[in-house]
Order: sequence, then C-alpha cells, then structure tokens
Amino acid sequence: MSAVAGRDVLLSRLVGVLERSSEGRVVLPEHGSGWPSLDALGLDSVGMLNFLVAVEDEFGIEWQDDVPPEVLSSLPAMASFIEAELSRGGTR
Amino acid sequence: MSALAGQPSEMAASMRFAERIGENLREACHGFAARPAMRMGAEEWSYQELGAGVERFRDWLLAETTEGPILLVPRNEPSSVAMVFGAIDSGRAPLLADPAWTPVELAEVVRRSAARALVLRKGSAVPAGFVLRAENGGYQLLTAEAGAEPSAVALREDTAFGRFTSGTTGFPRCLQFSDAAALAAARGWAEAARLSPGDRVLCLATLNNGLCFNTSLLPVFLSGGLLAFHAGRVLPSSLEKSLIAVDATVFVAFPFAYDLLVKRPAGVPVGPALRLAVSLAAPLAGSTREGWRQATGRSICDYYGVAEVGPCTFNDGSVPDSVGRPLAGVSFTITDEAGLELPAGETGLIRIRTRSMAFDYLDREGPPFAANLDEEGRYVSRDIGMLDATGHLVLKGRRGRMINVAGRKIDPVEVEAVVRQVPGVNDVFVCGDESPGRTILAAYVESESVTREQLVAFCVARLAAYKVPQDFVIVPRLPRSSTGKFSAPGIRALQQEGTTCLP
Repeated sequence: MSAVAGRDVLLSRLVGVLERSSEGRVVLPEHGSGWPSLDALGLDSVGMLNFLVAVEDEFGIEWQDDVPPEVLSSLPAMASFIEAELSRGGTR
Repeated sequence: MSALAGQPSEMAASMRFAERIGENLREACHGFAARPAMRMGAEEWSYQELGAGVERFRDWLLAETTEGPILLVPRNEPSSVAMVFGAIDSGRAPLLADPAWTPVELAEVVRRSAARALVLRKGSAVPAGFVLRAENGGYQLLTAEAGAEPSAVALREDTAFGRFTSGTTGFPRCLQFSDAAALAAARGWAEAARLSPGDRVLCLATLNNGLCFNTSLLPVFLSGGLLAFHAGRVLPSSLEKSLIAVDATVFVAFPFAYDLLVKRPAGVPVGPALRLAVSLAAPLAGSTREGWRQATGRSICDYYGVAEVGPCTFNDGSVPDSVGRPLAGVSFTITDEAGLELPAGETGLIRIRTRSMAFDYLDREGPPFAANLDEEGRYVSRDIGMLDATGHLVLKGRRGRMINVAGRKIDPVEVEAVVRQVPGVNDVFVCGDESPGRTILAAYVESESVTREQLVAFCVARLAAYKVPQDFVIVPRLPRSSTGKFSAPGIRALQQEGTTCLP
C-alpha cells in the first residue's frame, strides 16, 4: 500500500471514530471543499475528549502533552501524525 | 511579612475592613514559608514565592490602573493564582472570567460589568476594539479603545472580587463577593475536609469556578497544603501521570474525569494517599461511582454549592444519594412553594442561609440580587431537595430550565439568543437531552434552509465551546401549543426521533 493510500485509510478510520464517538451527532460534510477544522465541527470539550480517547483505543496510541496543537486541529493532520507514530512502532 | 508598609494610601484605607483575604494569605505565606504551595508539572512555588508573586501582581495593577473592576481571565497555573490574589489585594476587584469564553463573550462581559480593564494571558485571542496598555511577565493588560463605559451599578466598597453565574437572563451575571464571604467559604470547607499541611490537592476545575475557588484555593493555602494543577490536556493517560506524580490526597474534578479514570484498563490510577475525591454534584453515572468505590475503597464526595451562596455541604459518603450535611455556618430550610417550612423527610424548595453569600450583582440587566432572597434573608435556590432525619441533604430536582452539562451550568436562553441570529432561523428551543452517561446540549431549530454546518460555525464564533449545542434538530416547524408556546410533548417526540439534519 502506498503512503498516500495508507494515509487515506487512516483518515477514513478517523472519520468513523469521530462519528461513533459523537454517537452520530457529528456528520462530516462532503469534503470537496476541504476538511473542516475540528474546532469548526463544534465539539464541546467532553465531545473532543471522547474522540481523543476513542482514537487512542482505535490505533493503540497514547496522546502525550507535547503533541503539537496543529495535530489536533484537523483530521488530515491527525492522520499524518498517527501514520508517523505507527510507522515508528512506538506509542505516543 | 509586612507587605502593606509603605503601600499607597488606598491600600491603607482598604484595611478598615477587619478581615481581608490578603492579610490571611500573607500570614499563611509567612507561616508556611518554604513549604510547597503550588505545583504544575516540574514547576513548583513555595509559600514565600506565592507571597512574592501576589505582591508583584498587586503592585503592577496599582501602578497601571486607577480603579476597578478588572476582568481577569485566569488559567489553571501558579502565576494565575498569584495574579488573582494580587488583584484582590490591590482592591481593584478582579472579576474572574471563564477561560473558555470567546473574545466576543469577553467584550460583552466587559461592557455589562463596566470593567475598567481586561487582563489576559499573552497569546490569548484579544477582543476587537481592545488595546494593549501594559505587560507583566506572561500577562497583558488591555482597555477598550473607546474607553470604559460608565458603571450601571456601583462597585461596592467592600467587594473583593466577582465570580460569574450562568444566570437565567441570557448572559452570565457577575456576583460581588466580600472578603468575609470568601474567608467563610474557605474556612468552612477546610474544616469539613480536614485539610492540613500534609495535603496535596489536585484540582481540575478552573480557577473561576466555585468548585475550585471554594475547595482548592484559599482553603488549601490557609491550611498550608499543596495545590497541584494538571499540566496539559485532560486525557486519561496524562491525567494518570499527574495523579501518580502528585500522589494526591485530595482530588477535585468534574464527573467526566471520573468517567475517564474508572475506564482505565490498568485500573483507577490513584495511590494509597488519596483520602478524598470531590465531584461537582452533577449527574455522575452509577457505574462510575461504583467503579471508583470498588477501585479505591472510598466514595466520591459530591460537592453541592450554589454560585450565589458558595459551598453548602460536605459529603462523607455515609448516606447514599445524599450530598452530605451542611458546612459550618450553613443552614437549609425546606419549604413548599408558599414558603411554609416542611418537616424532615419531605421534599420541597431548598432555602439556604450562609456566611459566604454574594451581596449583589454587578449589572442591572436582570432581577436584583435581593429578588433571590426571602423575607428572612435566605437564598431561595432553584433546587428541590429533602433533609433526612440526620440532617443530610438529598437533591431531588431543579426548577427552571438551567442545563447541567458535565458540571457546567448553561442558560438555554443565552444559547437560544445566539442561534436565533443565524440567517434562516425562525426560532429555536434549547434543552438538555439525556444520553447514556451524560447530558447533551440540544438545539431544536425551526428553519427551512439552515444547515448544521452553518449553525455550528455561527455558534463556535460566539459561544464558549461548552455552550455550543452538540445536537441540532432542524425542522420546518417546531411543535407549539395553541397559545404559540413550544409544546413540551411535541419537543419530547422530536427528541425520541433523534437527530434530523437537513442536507
């Protein structure tokens, strides 16, 4: 699988995690015009927390305090970060 | 420490109030000197350093401002604690803002409370129309470009600080508190919780919140304990590290933190030192409560406090479903709607008398504070409850529409006012929908054209994240009764149908 294809798969899984963790409340718009920022989705702090915990569970990673804020700002940025983490074989 | 010697005359003048927060804190900083007062990650402040930090910020505000109140946006970090107490000691009456507020909300609060200045952490988003006047370390002092508006309500001479209540008028209202009220609240809690110099209190509630202010600031410092803040995001993994690193004896948090911790695969990460876990008296899932008890051998202590009157009870967990017994200086009367006192065991309206009550609002954009009091000076809460034969209070419900989401009280009127401004929205009804494990803020929107994305984008720009509805149910026509009011059965039917978003 190419790097781009692998990232797309991760992105697709992230979308699924987001929709499940929000119990279907957040449905991403068609992203022909680009991915919205996570802030723009209007998740409250508990919703964001549920999402981040669900991401940890889904990918077997652990968010650390030094994760750059931009990683948590959009799904593509998060997917790239997770891909890099998984390829390193470590957990964050 | 004689920090007041040589200070400006206004400081000396303010000393005529017999007991000041500043005096008490100075005494604690002097007495506990080298003991650790605050910790966040690797950063630690001794009591001496806390005292010096308070003086530094006090002197800065005295030099840079001429009058209060000042809207202060504290973060959960040691320097913000020093800033809060420095501002109180300066007599400039800091009003403690919610760090989650948007710049739009901050500007509106400044206007309504007639704050003369705004103090923000550097790097924070600055409201439009505010200009930088001075800087101190990581903080900046700003004023409105157009100048401060005249006060609608005079700041009382004995106002030490202000805290905000979510109110029922469509916008947060500022409550004025005296030194004596804050000290009564602190002493009542410290005594009930048996705080001592050996305590390490890890607090996740924000400094502006009554839960933090009344359980974790003055009570800890007057007792010589250590106040610890969690550095970083509130995620299970990092929270676990904080709990272990601090080896907390007291943990103060909102229900969602307990939900997260009991789900940790390796078990609840608390050490044997933990003796008290305090949660805001918001709905806490039964499984969380039981999971915590099984893991730690201790119950979670529900905090029952009211923004207007301060902390009310301490719960030792001995009576299931109770929020505990009244703190020293607090008394409850349960009455019917007409004010007739009900005997123990009967459910009615909770009326509260405390020494830690606010004495006024700082605006006149809603009913006056006195409207909350009965003819005997008791605060008439919106809570429904019952006192048992042993004096334990059991909460049974709440009057009015206030919504409690994860421990934050939200006034639906405020959210509705914002949603109604979205082009294409005819009307809206905001309420709390019960979802497994938590309450979801939901907006039932009457519109034939608006989309969820438009609603979210509009709200995110104007409301703190916790006030942005998580559910938007968009229908062409909201159910109404024959009088034109929203129909409760009709709204309930929409709730049961689930989310319906227009494309």
